[in-house]
Amino acid sequence: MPSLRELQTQFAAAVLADTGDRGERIAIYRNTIFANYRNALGATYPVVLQLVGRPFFDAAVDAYVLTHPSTGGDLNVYGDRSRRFPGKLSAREGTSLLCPTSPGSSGRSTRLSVPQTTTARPHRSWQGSPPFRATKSRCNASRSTRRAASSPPTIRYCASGR
Amino acid sequence: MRRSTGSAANYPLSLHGVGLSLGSTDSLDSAHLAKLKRLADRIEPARVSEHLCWSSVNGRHYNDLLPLPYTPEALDHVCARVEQRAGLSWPRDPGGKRLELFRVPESTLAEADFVAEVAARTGCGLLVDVNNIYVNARNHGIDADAYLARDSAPQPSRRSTSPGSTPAVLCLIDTHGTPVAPEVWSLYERARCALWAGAHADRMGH
Repeated sequence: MPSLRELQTQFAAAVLADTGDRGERIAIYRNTIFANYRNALGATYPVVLQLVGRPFFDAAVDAYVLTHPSTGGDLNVYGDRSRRFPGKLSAREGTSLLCPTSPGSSGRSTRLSVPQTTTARPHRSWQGSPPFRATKSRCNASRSTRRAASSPPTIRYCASGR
Repeated sequence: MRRSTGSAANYPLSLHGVGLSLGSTDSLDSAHLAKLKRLADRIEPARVSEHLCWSSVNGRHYNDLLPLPYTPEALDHVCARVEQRAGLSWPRDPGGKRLELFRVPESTLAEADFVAEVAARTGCGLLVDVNNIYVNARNHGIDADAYLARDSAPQPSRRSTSPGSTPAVLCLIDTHGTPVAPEVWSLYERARCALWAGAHADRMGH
């Protein structure tokens, strides 16, 4: 019989791989685990979440979690330590995720236009202290024509002119 | 935190953890334990409980409550960990039984036997979620009443009913988001009347 450690290692691998041979109930654990991380990072970076939208944000979190494992039992700490998470949106693992989520628009990067009510300082917002209030109704995403594959995709903030 | 501290002066509070990874084969997270101890020292809870499960292995945390195999090795391991945690001299130290969607096929012991043995060996109480017993019984085809009868630990401290059992395609899951099912209340009543006169009804929302 496998040891306890071997069993735990196998179970964890099956949860992450989502291809375990132990049935679909494993998928419930997987879904719960990833939902926990999405919620935790969403609570830590609410402005980023509003800027990029829930589908994009969730996909980015899923990719981030796989490459940046949690090392503690406190999810709040995980979110707090992951200050580089928004930065990772423009890094390697986020490249394919920066494509617009609307149908028929794949292959293009997204340009986010945020009304400038104060000086926009994205790096501050990533630290949980948003310098501006961006709501869904005031945050309009428009596409640029630049191909995402031509350069590292980034989230660009610009004033709306108002 | 300020509210909790204030409430602790007037009411007996219970700390119920989710992140200790009690059943993991990794070493206990000393930093996490230290934080828990600081919190317990500050609040002075009537009870401190954790989940009888694991959530980390090989240094990676999954931040969820994952199922233990019910084997003699796991039993020895969990008992040792409970003793290790009890060394922090918290007021009480009941172990919490968790919802289990997946039964590890390598298990050789019955779940109820495993839980009862942990309580008997370590002297800790049990924080048993009646809703989880109902869900586990449904999912794994066991008799919930028989489970409760076997699960009568030497120091039953509390029984709780958490809300929300949602029928799923494959199994029941505990959502903590809907009212307690009538079947769970019925099971709770039977448990309270037949086994534990001092049982409490909690509605957990973690």
